[in-house]
Amino acid sequence: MRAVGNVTAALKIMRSSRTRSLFTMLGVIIAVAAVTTVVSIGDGVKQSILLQANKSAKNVLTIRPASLSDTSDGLNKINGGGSIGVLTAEDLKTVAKQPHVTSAVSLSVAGNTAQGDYEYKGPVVSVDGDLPAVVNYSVAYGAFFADTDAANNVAVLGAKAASALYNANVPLGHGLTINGQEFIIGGILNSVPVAPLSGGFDANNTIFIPKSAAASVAPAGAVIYQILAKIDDAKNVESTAKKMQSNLSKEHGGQEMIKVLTPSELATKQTVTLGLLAKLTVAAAAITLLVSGIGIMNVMLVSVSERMHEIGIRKAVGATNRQILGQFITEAVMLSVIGSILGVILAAFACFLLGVFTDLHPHFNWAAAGLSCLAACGLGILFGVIPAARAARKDPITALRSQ
Amino acid sequence: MALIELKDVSKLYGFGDATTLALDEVSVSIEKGEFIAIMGASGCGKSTLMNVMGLLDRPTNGTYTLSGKRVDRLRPTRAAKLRRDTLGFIFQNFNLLPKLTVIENVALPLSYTNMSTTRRLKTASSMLERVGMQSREYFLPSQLSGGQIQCAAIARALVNNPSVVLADEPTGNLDSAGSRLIMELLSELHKVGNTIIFVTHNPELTRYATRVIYMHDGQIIQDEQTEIGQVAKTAKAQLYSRGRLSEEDDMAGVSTLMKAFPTAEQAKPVAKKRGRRGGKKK
Repeated sequence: MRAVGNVTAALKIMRSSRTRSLFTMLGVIIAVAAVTTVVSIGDGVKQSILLQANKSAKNVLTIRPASLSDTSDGLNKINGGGSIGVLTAEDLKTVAKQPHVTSAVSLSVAGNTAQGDYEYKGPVVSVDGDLPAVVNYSVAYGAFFADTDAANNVAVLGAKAASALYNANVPLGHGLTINGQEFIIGGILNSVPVAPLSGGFDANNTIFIPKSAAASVAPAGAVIYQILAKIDDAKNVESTAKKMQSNLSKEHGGQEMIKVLTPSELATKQTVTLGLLAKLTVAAAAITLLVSGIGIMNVMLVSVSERMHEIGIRKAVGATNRQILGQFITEAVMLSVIGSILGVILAAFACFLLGVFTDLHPHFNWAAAGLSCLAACGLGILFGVIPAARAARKDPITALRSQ
Repeated sequence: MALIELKDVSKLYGFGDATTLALDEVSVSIEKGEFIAIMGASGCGKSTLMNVMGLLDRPTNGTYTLSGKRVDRLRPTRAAKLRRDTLGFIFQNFNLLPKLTVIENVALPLSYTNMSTTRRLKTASSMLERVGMQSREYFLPSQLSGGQIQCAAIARALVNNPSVVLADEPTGNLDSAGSRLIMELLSELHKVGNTIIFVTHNPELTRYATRVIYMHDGQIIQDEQTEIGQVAKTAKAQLYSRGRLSEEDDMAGVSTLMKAFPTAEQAKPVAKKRGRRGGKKK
């Protein structure tokens, strides 16, 4: 029988036992949908990060202790111990002196709680007044503090931190206590786009205070966890990063204690967690696919037993072993193909819903969809062979006698 | 050259003590255009003989020649192709696929050839027209009467234009009207030159045949030429001896057909006469 005939026959068989076919395909549907959705979410996040990097920090190099550079956000590891004191004020000077560096700022952690109208748990970061210029932050209300405001104990809030600390919509001029030290809100930042799930530094949740005020808040001294350096032109980013890396290594006695990250490297680091999640999902989906393949094999074995008489009739009228083999393999493959198509549709629907109802903006990944479909079809063939061979090998007279 | 030639064909089932001898050195020769009825009690080997002749089963011993070619040791694929191109099967329980329409069932043997779907369905349709079933083409088998289903099965058996039609009790599941319809149809096929071999328990149906082969315990015990329209002599004797079995015969499992067979002395000249055609010599 020709392939088209086999496909038509397989579809007819599937139509006649819809419920069983649907349950057989369920594993394939779930696996394909899971892989496609997770990879699409990852793609969406990556695109957001790159977009964010292009928008706010296209020409910015990030300098971090090497022990922190493998994580998405240095803040999460700042209290780890080993990295404290790696970056120093000397390093900031070295960075600022590099050719093509127009400005450089250091970010230090000065605390993690603040008291406004409500108590707030979030990073308190001490920075230079140049920060908005380096990373293109814009101020919605008030102004970012200048280095000259240091003595005035002025603080600037991220958009989310402002709403979490106060009842008022615009709490400009309100008081704020950090570690017993009083600050006045001098400015509120516009909302900064942050890629979801990236674990990246979120300026929206942060309270910024002047570098010189850090000493009063953190008596032990604020720890510099990263330095941001703005480069004059995007084409100089790579070369400056290399040069800066070697100079900083020299400063630290030739040890690779500090890592200079370009925007693209930073984006990659930020998606490490997400990549791990994607790998776990792919592994889980692979197991699901394997189990669904075994399910397909079981159903096909039952189908072969149930349809033994039909096999006998087909052989009696002239079907060869190969034609019977082809017919049953086609049925197994059709279960996988239709399951895969339904899985891709489900994934597209899930991506649409996630895009509408969450901060995630999945970017539908056709390659992942295609690959998972191919894997499912391969499994269909692999697990369809045993039942099909069993059907094909059956002696015609034995098959005809079974009812 | 005979169309079908079996020489000392035996068929054994099972192993050791459980061995059953279904065919015991059967020799028979069938010419093109014959209409043969095979009769015998249940379990005498009629169906096994049909299965061997239809290449559904392999003989344990002996040779089988079909159209001058040895086919008793064919590979499964070659046997399947011969079944597809040379043989047509009609079964007692019809054996149509319940999920396919009548026309799809009839076209089934052609679907294993390289014929296009359109041509396949056209051929099947013309075959259904020949058996008077064209108006039921798109019915499912479950929507037809027994006689109609068997007509469709006959159309399927003929669709690949086979040289031999093998019918294993084609009227076994039909009433007398249905049986007559099917036998008339087979008779018409015979008239246009088809070779037909059918198994029956009904002596009345031998009036359609040109030759009747009687079997017992896996052997051919009689081979009788007969006139179309006349019930075969031995079958007639069986027909008229119905109900005349004694209680001892009944207890001993003797059938009316066995009672109708000529005695050993009477059988001798018959056996000699059919020596040319083979059969079990006594």
